[in-house]
Amino acid sequence: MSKKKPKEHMIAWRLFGSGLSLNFQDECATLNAARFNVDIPVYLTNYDQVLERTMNIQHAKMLEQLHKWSATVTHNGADHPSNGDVDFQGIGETDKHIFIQATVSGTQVRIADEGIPPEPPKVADFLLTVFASSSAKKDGIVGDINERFARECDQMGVSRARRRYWSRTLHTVWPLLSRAVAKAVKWGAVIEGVRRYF
Amino acid sequence: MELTALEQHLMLAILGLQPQAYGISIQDRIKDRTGREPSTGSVYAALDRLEEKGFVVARQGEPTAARGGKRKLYFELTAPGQHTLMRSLQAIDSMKQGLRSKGGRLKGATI
Repeated sequence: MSKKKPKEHMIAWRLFGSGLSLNFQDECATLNAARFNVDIPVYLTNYDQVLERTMNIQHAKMLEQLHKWSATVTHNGADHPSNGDVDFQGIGETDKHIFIQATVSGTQVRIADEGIPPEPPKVADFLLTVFASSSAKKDGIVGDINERFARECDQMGVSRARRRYWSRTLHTVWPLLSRAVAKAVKWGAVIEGVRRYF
Repeated sequence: MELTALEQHLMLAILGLQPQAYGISIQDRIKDRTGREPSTGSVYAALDRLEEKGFVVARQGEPTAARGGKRKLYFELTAPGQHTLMRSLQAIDSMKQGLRSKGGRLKGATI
């Protein structure tokens, strides 16, 4: 029996804090394949600074385990491992975001603000993939349109962002298609020329 | 070698944004400066042409969640690209000079 490959989820962490370094460790024992350790060894110098890190989570169910995480706080260069300095209050979810709320040294802070954007329309994604000239270009194009989609989901809501995603996709496909045709015609002419010569 | 207006805009935007010039930042820059936003497809099709001519090079960045795990594609101008852009802009300057010396004037613009 073939095992279905677990879906990969990309999670971006945003860490807000002052003079803090946080080290998260997953305590999930039930999903060994998805076990991971994330180290964020960066000192934040002011409260408004935002640190983003990305990591792969190999199973969506991991998200349910987040409340079981433990943490070590490094404050002004000194470690305070698992001494209650960080108290995770669990994971919250809206239609747009997953976020983690915690108390650090008695101060309520939002230490992680997850940005899993809603999924863009699959068919539009497929169209872009088909017409991009190389896999690097495909990543660039699809990524750019996804990035705009994520921004617009925050600014104007998911349904409007989806409509704009479609519109942007259709406006994007035409120049890519023209370019692909131009390339094919050019190579066709070269091949025809070589054939005639011989 | 001739450059289209879009190609000139793209190359100037890349030059101004280097080393952080990727699709969205380039589009935003052009929109800010010209008031017109080229579509993602026309930007990438033009960049593909410029890359084929050896005027720009692309390198991949890190994937991010907001981009659905896709990598950014950063663009930089090559030395021949900079040279061609300079010559193309000089040609426009030269044409403008010609208008000025004949007292030519575009509607609503000072040359």
